[in-house]
Amino acid sequence: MKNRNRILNSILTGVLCAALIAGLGCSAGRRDAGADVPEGTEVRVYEVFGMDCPGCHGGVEKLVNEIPAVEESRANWKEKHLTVTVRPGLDLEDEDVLDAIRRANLTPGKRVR
Amino acid sequence: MFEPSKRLNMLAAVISLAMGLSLLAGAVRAGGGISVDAGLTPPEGRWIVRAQTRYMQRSDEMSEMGMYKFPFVLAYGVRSDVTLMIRQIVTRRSMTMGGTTNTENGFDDFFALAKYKAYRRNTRSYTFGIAPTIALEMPTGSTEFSSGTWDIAAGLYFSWRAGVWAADLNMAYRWNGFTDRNASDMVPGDAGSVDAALSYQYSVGGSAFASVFPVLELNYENERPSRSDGADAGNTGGSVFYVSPGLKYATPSVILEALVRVPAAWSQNGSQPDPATGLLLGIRLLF
Repeated sequence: MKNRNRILNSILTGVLCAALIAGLGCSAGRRDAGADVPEGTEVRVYEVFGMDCPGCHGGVEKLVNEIPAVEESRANWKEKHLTVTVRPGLDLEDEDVLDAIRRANLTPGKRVR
Repeated sequence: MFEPSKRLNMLAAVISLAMGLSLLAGAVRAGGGISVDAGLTPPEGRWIVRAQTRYMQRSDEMSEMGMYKFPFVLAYGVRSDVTLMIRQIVTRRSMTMGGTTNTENGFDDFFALAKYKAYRRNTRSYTFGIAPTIALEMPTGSTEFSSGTWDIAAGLYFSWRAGVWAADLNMAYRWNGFTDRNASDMVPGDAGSVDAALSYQYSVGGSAFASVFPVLELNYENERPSRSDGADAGNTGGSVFYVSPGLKYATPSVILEALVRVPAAWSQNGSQPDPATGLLLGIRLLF
């Protein structure tokens, strides 16, 4: 019984440590999309309302990144912005981005860049 | 239950931890509750996995009880306004009485919930949402931990976010034993609960990608007496009011959470053990 408790405690501690390291890693390694893009690459910025913490970023980013003309997207709940890097040579329709924002249960504002 | 001095020490430790982390943090923003699963709202096509460890302890002159619960929750965004959620709890309970300790392990009843985001307003300065929920608990658990009955629950979830503050309110009512009876041929009483959570968000180092949230939850639970042969059963049912300080750490893909659940006031029918103090540790992964 003691062994089982020890194993259970080890698993729980391991999972929590891994999650903490992963979480800290995610937060440390993050940057805005378009921060280091090659010259001539189009970067757009949209206002997004309804994001209230870092946990809100992933949902909208995943949906926007599924658009073929999107190279990369990064949300920032503090700025209430979504920065989108357009894949070179492809046309990105604003309406596709706005639709993805709505499907994330958020509300798009205006395109600011 | 913990002795008052131990309980105060635990409370002091949690508050100190929250204050310490808040001093380390930089700028600010908002968040939500910890102990209520109805608050999980993944976007369309996204999964949230929540795993928690809940420890409860209580003792009196005759006996001592320690119980671990390991809830595993899976929530999926079917549409932007519809969430489906399932929960399975594994329980381990130890009872010590007269120098003899008896330990039981097993599954609780399987729980499924659907949430519809009926109203949501996102503006530059605030976000407000209302979401009704409907849930079903099936008597699939181990004999020791199953209610033995099919139970239906309905609830209403409110969320509000403005700047650094976040508030959540969940009201739920559970019709226990609307069909079937448990092993003792007793129908468990219906139960109502009101859970409120208030939190404040500190952005770690001013970053938008990691935040710490001190959380205060207030939980009220009322359970009607169980019924047997059309009459109320003695020593069942009652009300408990919990005050639960907690702490949450959030990144875009992982949320860590901790909470101490302290019974502040209670009124129970007949002779029942006092409600237990609980400690909750959890992790949420977003996919």
